[in-house]
Amino acid sequence: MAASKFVQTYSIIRRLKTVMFAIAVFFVIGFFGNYFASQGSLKGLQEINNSNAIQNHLSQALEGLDSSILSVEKVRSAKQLRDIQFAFDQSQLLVKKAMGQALLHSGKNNRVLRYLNGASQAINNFEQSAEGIFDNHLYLAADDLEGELLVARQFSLEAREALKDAQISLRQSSNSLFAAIYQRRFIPLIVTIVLSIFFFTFVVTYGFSLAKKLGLSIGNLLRATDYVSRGNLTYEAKILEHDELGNLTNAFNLMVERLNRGRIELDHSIDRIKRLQEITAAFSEALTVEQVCDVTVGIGMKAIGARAGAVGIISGEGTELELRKSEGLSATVTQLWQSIPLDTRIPMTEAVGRHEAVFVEDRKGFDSYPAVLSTVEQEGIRSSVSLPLIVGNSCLGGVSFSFTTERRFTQDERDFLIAIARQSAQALHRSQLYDDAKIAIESRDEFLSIASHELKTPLTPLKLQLQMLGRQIKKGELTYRPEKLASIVESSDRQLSRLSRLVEDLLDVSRITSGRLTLNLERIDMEDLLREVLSQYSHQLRDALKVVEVTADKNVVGEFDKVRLEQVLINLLTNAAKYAPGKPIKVSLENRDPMVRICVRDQGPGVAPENQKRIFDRFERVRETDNVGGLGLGLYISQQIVKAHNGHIYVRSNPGHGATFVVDLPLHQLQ
Amino acid sequence: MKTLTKTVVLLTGLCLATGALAQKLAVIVNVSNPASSITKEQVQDFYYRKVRQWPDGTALRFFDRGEDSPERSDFLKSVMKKTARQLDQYWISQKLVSGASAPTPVGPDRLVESLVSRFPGGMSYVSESFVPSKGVKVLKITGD
Repeated sequence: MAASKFVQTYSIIRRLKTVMFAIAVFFVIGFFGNYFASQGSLKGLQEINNSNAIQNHLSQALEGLDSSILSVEKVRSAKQLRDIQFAFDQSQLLVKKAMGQALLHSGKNNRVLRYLNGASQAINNFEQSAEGIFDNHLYLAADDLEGELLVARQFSLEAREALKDAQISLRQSSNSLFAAIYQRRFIPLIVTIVLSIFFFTFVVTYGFSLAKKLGLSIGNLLRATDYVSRGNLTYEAKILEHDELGNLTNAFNLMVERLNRGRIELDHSIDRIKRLQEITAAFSEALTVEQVCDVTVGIGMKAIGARAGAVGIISGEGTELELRKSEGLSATVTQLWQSIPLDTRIPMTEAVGRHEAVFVEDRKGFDSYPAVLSTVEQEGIRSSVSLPLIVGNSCLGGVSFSFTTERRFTQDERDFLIAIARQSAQALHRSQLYDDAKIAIESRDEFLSIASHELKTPLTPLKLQLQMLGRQIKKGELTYRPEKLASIVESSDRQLSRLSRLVEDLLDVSRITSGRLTLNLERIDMEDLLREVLSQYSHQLRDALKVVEVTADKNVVGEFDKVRLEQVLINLLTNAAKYAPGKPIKVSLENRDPMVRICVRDQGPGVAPENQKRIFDRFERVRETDNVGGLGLGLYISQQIVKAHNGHIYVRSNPGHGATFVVDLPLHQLQ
Repeated sequence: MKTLTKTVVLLTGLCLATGALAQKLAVIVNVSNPASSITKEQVQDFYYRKVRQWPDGTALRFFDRGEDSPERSDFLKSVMKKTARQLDQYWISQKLVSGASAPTPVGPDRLVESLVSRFPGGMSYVSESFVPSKGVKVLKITGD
């Protein structure tokens, strides 16, 4: 389809010029041909004309001769000899003049010249004898005179005869010349006809072939335009002649080719957009991470014809890739790569690490990844592509496709794969959000049931005691002893304060989530605060029969929100009392300038390592200790408060050996 | 010489006495002419001017005789075998065709003799009885 480079070697214009030139040449040749063909006739006509002139002169000479002889004959009876002689001389003069003219005209006509010579001789003889007669006629006898006259007459006859001969000869030659001219009258015509035939043959053959070629070329072009207009863009018009039309055809072919290329590209683009749309649709239907991984691998393999595909997602710790989905790989290989530390050098980790696609186009390309060589050999992989799954600035994982043949990835394919990866990453991100949301909803539901249960717990005994008191009052007599009444009131008060604490906690949580947690910083001594809290809540601790051991450094002064920190400490202490009843609680305060560390250690069941982070989340409680009441908001609120102070809170625990909650706070807030 | 003359006269007389034809004709030519005899056809050709030269190239000059002379009538009868009228017609046509005119007619024998003697190619005819003087010679007409 590629139209070859065109080199114009012929020119229609030049050929038309040739035709024109040929026509001009033919005209010139025709003119000269006719001219030369007529030349002979012209010469003949000239000669005829010439001989006519000679004829005239000869006729004059003959007339003169006649009058001469008449003059001479008059001698017989002549009286005035002088007159006769004069007349004779005049006519002789005429004769000689005419003869001279005739001689002058006759040129090279030898025959005529011969006759004229004979005539001149005879005329001379005649003249001599006539002169003789004129001189001597007086002395001559009549008979002698008669003899002399006869002699003169004889000479004149001879001259006459010669002149006549010349005339006849001239007439004959004229006739023959005329006959020749007449015979040749067709020659110019024949020359014209022959030249015209040549000319027409040339013009017709050359011009016809030219016109035919032109017509064919134009027809070709027309057919091509017809085909192209009907949409056949692969049609290539044949170039018949390397001339201007050929050039035009070539240009047309190039144009069509470019058009076709454009159309193919357009088709490709449309195809790609369609596929992307399908992919988008598929991804939009995938809700969970597993579904997204399935779709990614499935679509990717189908779109580029890969032999195998796998998706790895960065684990919670961010240190390794978990293989979430693989297809086309043997079970052992899948097992081998179930989790991949990010510092292992393989194409997928490199793609994840560098946030860009890694293309391995041949077997040699794997040499720089020694870790995968055995897998590559085992699976017969010859090329692969690995893409990071990037959302915004963070990478969620990587996807990899493998091929059993070496192949080059075109820019098109690369772009397409990257687009798939982007789509996949977004879907993955969405699905993760979805999962998170689902979990959040679940834990909120759980929290609601716990919260309603918790709220109901103090309400039931409160209602019971109030009803009892109400019944007593109705009867009009108080049978209860004052001690009993006091205990009922105290119990009701405890239930109410518990309720108000629960409500307070809920308010705090909503405050924190809406970002309305503000600190009222003031300069306080942490030891005083600790002592105050311990004494303030001693009755509660006493209730739980707790023994609190305190070791505190002096003069730990810093900028803190007193109320909030009290809340944190109370929370930690209540937790310790709640989870380890009857066991001693150790509280320590260390001054580690510029930080202060508060530790609360209990001897309860402890916290399992997998839960150590979770317990600080909202609505979270450790399941195994379901028998313990509470909303599970305390640690969350505490953590938020500590974070607001730019501190840390965490738990150190060995299950079964109690737990230590550690709070690190900076003494001075950077403002 | 005398005897020769006598015999000629005798022969002539004999001829006249016995001749079926009225007169025999003879041709005279210039003495310088080498010809010794002439045929009737030659004479005819010369008269008609079909031949214009003697064999040696001398221009031929034929002198006819007067129209009413006995020699001419004899000549027409015995040599040309044509009437005078026929000859007139011939010359008229010849004048038109070739421009040739009839030979000049010359009357008396003497004048003929003198003319023939003056032209080397001169020629005429006389009666057989004619006796040539100087300058001419007589040729016999041979053949039929």
